[in-house]
Amino acid sequence: MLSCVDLAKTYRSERGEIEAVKGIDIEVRPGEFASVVGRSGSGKSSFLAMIGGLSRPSRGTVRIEDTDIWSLTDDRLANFRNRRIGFVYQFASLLPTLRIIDNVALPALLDRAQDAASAYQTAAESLDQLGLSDYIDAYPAEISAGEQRRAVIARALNNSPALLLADEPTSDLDEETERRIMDQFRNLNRERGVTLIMVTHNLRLAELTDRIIHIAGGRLAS
Amino acid sequence: MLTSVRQGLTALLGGVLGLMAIMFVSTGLMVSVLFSAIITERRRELGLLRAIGARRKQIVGMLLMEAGLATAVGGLAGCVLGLLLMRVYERSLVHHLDSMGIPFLWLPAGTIGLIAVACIVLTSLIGAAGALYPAWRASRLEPYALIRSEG
Repeated sequence: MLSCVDLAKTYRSERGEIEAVKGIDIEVRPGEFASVVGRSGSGKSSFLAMIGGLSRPSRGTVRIEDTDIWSLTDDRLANFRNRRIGFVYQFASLLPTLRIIDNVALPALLDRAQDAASAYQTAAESLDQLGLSDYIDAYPAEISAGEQRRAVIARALNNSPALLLADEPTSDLDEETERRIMDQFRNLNRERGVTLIMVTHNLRLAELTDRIIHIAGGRLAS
Repeated sequence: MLTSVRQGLTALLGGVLGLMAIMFVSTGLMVSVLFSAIITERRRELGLLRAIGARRKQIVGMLLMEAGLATAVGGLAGCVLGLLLMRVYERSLVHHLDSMGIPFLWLPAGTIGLIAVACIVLTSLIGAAGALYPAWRASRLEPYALIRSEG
């Protein structure tokens, strides 16, 4: 499903070069639910951004379902992200001026292969599956943080991605909501076979996943 | 006398056209600066759109459309204000000239309407042109760099 070879990322700033990720080799199997743990600044979010096609590696390759994603042109990479990868972030990532259903339908609307009617129908079904059918016409500011996060998960799943990437998805949520989000992830993983990679600094959450990947100082730790 | 009036009007017309050109360029620059600030504030939103599959061209297109619409609304407001001022002008100076037996020639209503439409289209184009560079610059950034921005 996912294969990274010698993956590295160096940021250049006025203060010099910072090597955030220093050559990671890893394989994630289809249907696996993996967590990436490490201290702040260990390089785990940069690693996630590279495997999600959001930040170009300084070195190395990322293959998802036999596609070397960083060899794609920018437009084809955007299409790949749209159709094969879903993202859940550590902050509220719904567009505030759009209704919940518009937010969830957005990836499908951006993909010109789908018409608006089917995009909205799929969005309504995704919201229903995540228990948010009562909030279809609500705006993000009108629902709770936990419901917003579930709406983001619904958006991430709207195009039936092969890989779902979550960056500290529960960091600002209370324990009860955190548990519900983790249950949703587990259900998606078991029932729909979605491969999940979740970055967290919370070891208790990481222990709920199939596999824990430790990153320290930009490298895989034993 | 007619020649001197014609020369004066020609010079005036040249000055008005020069002033209009300066106004168009400065408006374009102001829109560009304004949109640079707006886009900087909305970087995270643009990053999210890129992450869920928006292409660079779509991002630039959306921003240009937004700038074009916003400035078109501004142009429409300017035309409405101009028409109201024309009414005031008609009831004061034109009325006074008429009472002195001096006719004031208005442009036909259709021509005024066409000029108004042309002004709205022009303001919209200036808005879009002003937003082009900041929109293009934002679209060149990596989605992750946009998402990490404070916003």
